[in-house]
Amino acid sequence: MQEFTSSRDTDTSDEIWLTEHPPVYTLGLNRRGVSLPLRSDIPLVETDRGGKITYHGPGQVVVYLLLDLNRLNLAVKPLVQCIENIVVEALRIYQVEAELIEDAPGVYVGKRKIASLGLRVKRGCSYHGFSLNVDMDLSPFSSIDPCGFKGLEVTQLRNLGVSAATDEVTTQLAHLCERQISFAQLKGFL
Amino acid sequence: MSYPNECHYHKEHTWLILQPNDEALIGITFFAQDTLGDIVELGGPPKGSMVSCGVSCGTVESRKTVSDLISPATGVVLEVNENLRSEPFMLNDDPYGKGWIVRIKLSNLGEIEMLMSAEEYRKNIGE
Repeated sequence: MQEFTSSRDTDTSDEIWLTEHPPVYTLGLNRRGVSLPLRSDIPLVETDRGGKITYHGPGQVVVYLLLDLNRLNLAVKPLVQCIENIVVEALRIYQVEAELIEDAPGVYVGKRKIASLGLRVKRGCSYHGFSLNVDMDLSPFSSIDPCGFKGLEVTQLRNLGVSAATDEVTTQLAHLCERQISFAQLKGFL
Repeated sequence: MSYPNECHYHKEHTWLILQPNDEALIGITFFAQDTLGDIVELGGPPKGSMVSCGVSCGTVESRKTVSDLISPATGVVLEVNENLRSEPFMLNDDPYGKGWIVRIKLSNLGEIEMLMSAEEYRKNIGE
């Protein structure tokens, strides 16, 4: 991801990587005020993205957005809105009404966080991205304050009565990424 | 949008104000703070470090996104605006005043001529 971004030029196509990770906690670049997880059975990886601490594991879709923001004419603020829209639209497919909370980027359902985001922009190109909880073991989240918010609860599609498989949600997200990024790009040029 | 005439502007959305004794203040432009959104953390260069024109000298975090801070000139950091540790929002509220990031000793005054005037910068960002 870092390698792709540092070696890309103005002709390199944007890429979207969709994956699931084995259990892992990841820390953002700015660690001030972050309390580290108490459990030692899950590895902790330091990253250079924005945001504080989060957990990734099987049953959660992780989407990496490797975009040339200059070429797309997208700034940080609209990019983050675009990511939130992708998740809101994905949840709508499953009849789940999502909420956005001012000053706390991410997507929430009934005040519980269902999707997290964290990005890095280098030389006008983004990497890292967002994750959506589908059908996973949420208990590792209880050892951390997700994204630095004390006592923030998390949820997932399965707990909201959605039985879709992680693979299916991944496919939906891929389509929505493509569409929402084109919308955001168009808006940027208007 | 506001772009004071006393500033010299770098295309990566930072400004520089000349001070006596070949010193200069550096910060981010109104356009930068506006497109980044609310800034929650600044990872600026430490006192005594060397910054280079056009090269990343730190990071700015806004809306869960870490972006590079590009120095508009080459020099040594003489002073860091410590207030930004507790009040990073000053980068949004007062980008040319209380939101100054560092004071540097310029190594190469010739670089300043390569920077843009307020008018040129406005054109550059499509205003």
